[in-house]
Amino acid sequence: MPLHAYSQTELVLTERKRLERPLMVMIWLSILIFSLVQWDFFYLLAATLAVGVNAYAAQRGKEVFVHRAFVNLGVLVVTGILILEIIAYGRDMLLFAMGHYFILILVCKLFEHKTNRDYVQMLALSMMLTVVATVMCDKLWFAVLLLTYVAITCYTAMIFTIKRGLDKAAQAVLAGEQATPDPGVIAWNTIHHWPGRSLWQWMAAIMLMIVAGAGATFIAFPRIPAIAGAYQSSRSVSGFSDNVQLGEKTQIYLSKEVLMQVRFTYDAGPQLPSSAFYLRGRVFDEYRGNAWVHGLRGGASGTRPPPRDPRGLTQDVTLYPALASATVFASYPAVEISYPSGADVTSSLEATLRQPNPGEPVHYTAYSWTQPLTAPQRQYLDHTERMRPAATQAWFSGVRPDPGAERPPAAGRRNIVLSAATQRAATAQRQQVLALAQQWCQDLIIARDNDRAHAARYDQRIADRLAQQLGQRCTYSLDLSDANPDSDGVYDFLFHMKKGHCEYFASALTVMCKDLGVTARLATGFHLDPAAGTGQTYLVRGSDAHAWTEIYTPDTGWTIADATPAGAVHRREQSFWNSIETFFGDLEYQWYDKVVGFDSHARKRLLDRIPKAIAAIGSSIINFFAYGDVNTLFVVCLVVVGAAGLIVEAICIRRLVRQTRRFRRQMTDAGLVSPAHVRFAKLLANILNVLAPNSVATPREILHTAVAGRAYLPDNVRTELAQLVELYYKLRWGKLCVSQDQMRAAADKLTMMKRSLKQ
Amino acid sequence: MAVTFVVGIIAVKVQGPMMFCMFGCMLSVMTVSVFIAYRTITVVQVLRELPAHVWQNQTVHIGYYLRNPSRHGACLGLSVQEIAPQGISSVDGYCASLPPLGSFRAGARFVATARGKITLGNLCVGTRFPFGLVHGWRRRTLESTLLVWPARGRLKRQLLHAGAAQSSTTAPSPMTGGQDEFFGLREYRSDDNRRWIHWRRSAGRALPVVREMAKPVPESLWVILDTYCPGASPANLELREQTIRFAATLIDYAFDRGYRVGLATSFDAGAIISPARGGASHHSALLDALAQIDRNVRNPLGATIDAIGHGYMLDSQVIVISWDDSNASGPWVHALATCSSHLHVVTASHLSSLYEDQDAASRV
Repeated sequence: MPLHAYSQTELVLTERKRLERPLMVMIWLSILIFSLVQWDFFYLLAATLAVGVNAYAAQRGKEVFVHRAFVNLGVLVVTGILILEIIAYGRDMLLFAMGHYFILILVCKLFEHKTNRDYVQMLALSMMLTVVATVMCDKLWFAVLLLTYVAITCYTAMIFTIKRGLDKAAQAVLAGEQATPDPGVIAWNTIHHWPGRSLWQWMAAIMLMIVAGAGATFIAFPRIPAIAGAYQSSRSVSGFSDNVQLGEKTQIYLSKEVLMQVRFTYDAGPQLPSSAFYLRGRVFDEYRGNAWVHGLRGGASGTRPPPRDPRGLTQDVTLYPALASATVFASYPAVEISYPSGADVTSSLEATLRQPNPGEPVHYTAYSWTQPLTAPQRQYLDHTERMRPAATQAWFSGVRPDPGAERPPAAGRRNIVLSAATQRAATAQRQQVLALAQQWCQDLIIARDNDRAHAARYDQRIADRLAQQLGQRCTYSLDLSDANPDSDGVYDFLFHMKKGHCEYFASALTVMCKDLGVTARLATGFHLDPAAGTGQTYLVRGSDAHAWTEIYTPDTGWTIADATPAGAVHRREQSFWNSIETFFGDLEYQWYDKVVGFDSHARKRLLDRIPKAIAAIGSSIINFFAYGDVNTLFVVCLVVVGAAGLIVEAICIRRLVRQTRRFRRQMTDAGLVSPAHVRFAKLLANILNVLAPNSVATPREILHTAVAGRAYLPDNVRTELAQLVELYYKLRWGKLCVSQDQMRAAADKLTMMKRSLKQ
Repeated sequence: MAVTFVVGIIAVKVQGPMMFCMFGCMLSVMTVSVFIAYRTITVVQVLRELPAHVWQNQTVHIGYYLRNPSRHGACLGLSVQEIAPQGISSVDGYCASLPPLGSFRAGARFVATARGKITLGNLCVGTRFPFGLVHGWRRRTLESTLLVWPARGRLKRQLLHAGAAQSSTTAPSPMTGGQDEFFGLREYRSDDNRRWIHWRRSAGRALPVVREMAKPVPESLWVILDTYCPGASPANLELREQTIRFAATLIDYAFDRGYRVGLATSFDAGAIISPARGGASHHSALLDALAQIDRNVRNPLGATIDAIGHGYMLDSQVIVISWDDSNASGPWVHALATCSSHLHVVTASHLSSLYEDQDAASRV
C-alpha cells in the first residue's frame, strides 16, 4: 500500500471536509429554491452568509460554532417568529412561514458544534424546506433545480453513510481497552482509498433509478381530473376556447400542438385574400362582468342555396382530436358547409358538428365568400342573419344603439348578480372607458354627427382610429399576472395593465366601438400565419388561436378590425436569442402540457396509445420488408435503433481504449526493469553483502549501521555509496526515470567501489 | 417511511405534479436502498482470518478478507459483525469501499473473557449504503475454532531458580556454580558488563568487543496443577480459575526464561502428563491443556502426582499449585521433595503474595 493512500485514509477519519462541502451546497440550494419560489431574497442572503462562513471554515479544516445555549436560544426565537407569522398572516401564509422557520433553524444549526446527529437534522430540515417549496411551485425551472437538489442530496447522504460507519469504527472501544486505537490503525483496517469514483458511479445509477421511479409514480398514481390539468390554476395554455373571460391572473404559454389542417382552394387566383387567414369559430356580442356572452357559432349556411361567386374560397378542414370543440371554423362569411361524415349542421347559425366517432379526426368542407361582398351577397347574409334569435337580431341588422346604454340580460342567459357598490364601480369604470374612446375619436364623432348621410364611413374610421390607438398605447403580452380580477377587464387593460393578449385588444376595441355607437362584435378562432403554409395547405396550431373585432356597416357588411399589434402573434424574427427564447418557450409549454396537465384522462390516452404505437411500429416494419415502404415512423425507429447502437458502440470503444491504455501502462512498467537496472541492483547487493554479510537489514539500515562503523572507508566512498543507495530507492518506487547511460554509469561506479573494497 | 407516507398524502391532497414526483423520488430512494443493500450483501465473499490461540482478556486483532467478484459496481459501507458465543466481546469490522474485482482485509478486534475452546460459527455481513435508510444484512457460516488460554498475570516474586537459559546479552552467567565457558567475541552492547570487554581485540575497532560465554544447559520445571473441585462453591471455583491463570503465567514465564517445562494436571476423564520439553509447540500444547481444563470431580491431586513417573522430576524444579490450602502439606510432599531439586507448593492463600491476577485487575 503506497504511503500517500495511508495518509489520505487518516484524513478521512479526522476531517469533515468531504461531507460538509456537498452538505453546504445542498443546504444553500434548498434555500435558493425556496427563495425563488417565494421571490424574496432576504433569507437567501442571510443563509448565503452563514453557509459561506461554514464552507470557508471547513475548507480550512476548522469549524465555526457558538455555545449550544445560544443555538437553543436562537431556535426559541425562531419558533416565536413562526408563531407570530402564523398569527399575523393566517393560514394563507402558513407554507411561507414554515419555510422561513426551516431556513432560520438551519442557520442556527450551521453555527452549532456539529455532530452526526446535527448533520442528520440539517439534512432533514433542508429536505423539508424543499418539500414545502414543492407544494408551492411546479414550474420547469423548479423541476430542473429539484433534480439537481436530489442528486446532491443523494451524494451527501452516501458520503454521510460511509462517514457514520467510519466514525463508528473509530469510536468503538472494547471493554478491556483504555482508549481507541491509533487513527492510522483504524484507517488501515477500514479504508485505503476514498471511494470518490465509486460514489459518482453509484450516484449516476441511483439518479437514473430515481428518475425512472419518479416517472412511474407520476404516471401510475391516482389523479383527480377536476383538480389536475393545466387550465384550472394560474397557468393556461394558448388554444381555442369556447368562451372569453378577462381579468384572470394567468400566464399564457404558446401551444405548438397541431389542432387542424386547412387546405384552401381559391377560385380567383393563387394569392389568398387577407380575410382567408381569419378562421372564425365563435362570435360574441355582449360584454358583461368581464366575460363575453351570447356566443353564436359562425360559419353557418343559409336555408336556401347561396349564390355562387367566382371569388369563392373553399376550405377543406381536418379537425384533430386535440381540439376539444365541435365548432365549425371557416373564414367569414361561410355560406355552405358540407360534412361528409354523416353528421349534419344543426342550424343555419349554430354550426355544430356531430361527431360520430369522438377521438378521431373530423373532415368538413366550408365554402366562403371573400371581401368585399357584393350587394346580393350582403342581402343574402342579411336575410339569413335575421333568422337569429330576437335578442341578437338588432345587432346583426345594423341598428345602432344608444352610446353607453346598458342592455338588460335576455331571458335564459347567465345573469351575474353584483353588489350595489360593485355595480357603481363597474359603471364608473365603463364611463371612463367611454370617455377615453371619446377622447381618442372626438373629431370623428363630431364629423359623424354633422354628416349623418355618411355615418357608415365614419364608423369604419372610428374603428380604425381606436385600433390604431390601442396598438400604440398597449403592448402585447402573455403575462397577465398583474391582472386585477375585481376590476373590469377592459378598464384594467386600458388604464392599469396596458398590456394583454388578443382577447384584451379585441375586447377593448369592441367595447369602445359599441360605446361610440359603432356596431361591433367579438370573434374568436384562429389567425393563420401567411408565411407558415406550404402551398395552399396550412397547419393550425394552438398558438394560432386569436380574437378580433368585426365591424358592421350597411355598405360593407361585417368586416374585420384587428386591434392586436401586427406581428405580435406570429413573431418570425430568426435571431439567435429569439430562437433560444422559442426553444425554452416550447420546452415550458411541453412541460405544462405533458407534466403539469397530466391527469387521469391523459393517462388513459397514454395507455391507449401504447398498443397502437406498437402496432404501428410493427406494421411499419412489415410494410418496409414486404413493400419497401419507408414511412416516418420507420425512419424514427431507425434513428432510435441507430442511436442505441451508437451508444453501445461508444461504450465498447471506451472499454477497448481503457484496456489498451492499461496494457501499455503494464508494458511501460515492465520496461522499467532494464538489464542495466538489474545489473545495478545486483552490484549494490554485492557491495552491501560485503559490508554486512548475511544481513537482512535494508540498504539504508546497512548504510547507517555497518558502513558507519567502518572507519577505514574514505569519505568520498561513503558519500557515493549513500547516493547510490538513494538512487536505488528512487528507482525501486518508480519516482525516478533514469536513462540507460546513467544506469550504466552508476553500475560502473559500483564496480569500481567493489574493487576498492576488496583491496 | 413516515415522511414518504406524509408526502404521498400531501401529493394526493394538492394533486401537484411535483409532489407526485417528490413522492416517486422517495419511493425510489427506498427501493434503491433495498436493491443496493441486497446486491451488496449477496455479492460479497468473506473469509475470517483468526489466530489459533489467544490469551484471555487480551485484545486480539482479527481479519476479514472481503472480496467483490462482480465486474461492475463497488460495494460500499460494508460491516462485518461476529455472532459470537458468550464470553467474547468484539468490535465489528468495517470496509468503506470494495472496488469491482477487488479485495480488502477489514480489521476487527475482540476480547475473550473466558478461557476454553470457542467455536465461531456465524457472522453477519451488512451494509447501510447508500442512504442509511435500510440495513441489509446476511448471515454467513464460517466455522473457526479458537482456544482461549488463561489470562496472563504478573509474577511478583522470582519463583524459578535463576540461571536457566539467559540470552547472550549478559556475558557472565550469574548462575551459582556457573558452568560458563568462553564461546566467542561479539560487539559490545549497552547492557553488557564492562569487565568483559576484550580490550586487546577492541583496540583496532570503532566499537569494543566483549567475551561471550557459552549458554548453560537449561533446567527443567514441572508444574503440577490441582483441578479437583467436587461440590465447590462459586468462590472456590473462582479460586481454582485463579490458580489456572497462575499456572499459565508461570509456564509462559518459564518458557520465556528457557526452561524445559512439564505439566501434570487432571481432567475429569483422567490425568494428563506432559514431560518437560522446550519449544514453541510444547508451549502451545501446555497452554492448550490449561485452556481446556474442565470441572474435575474424579481425580484429586494425589492421583495426578501418582500418575507422574518420579524419574521425570529428577533434577527438576517442581511447583505444585492448588486452590485448596489443605494440600500445602501432605504425604506426597516428601516424596516429591526427595526426587526434585527444588519443590515449591503454592496454594490459594499464597497467590496474592506471588502473583498479580490481570483478570481481577481488568474487572476492577
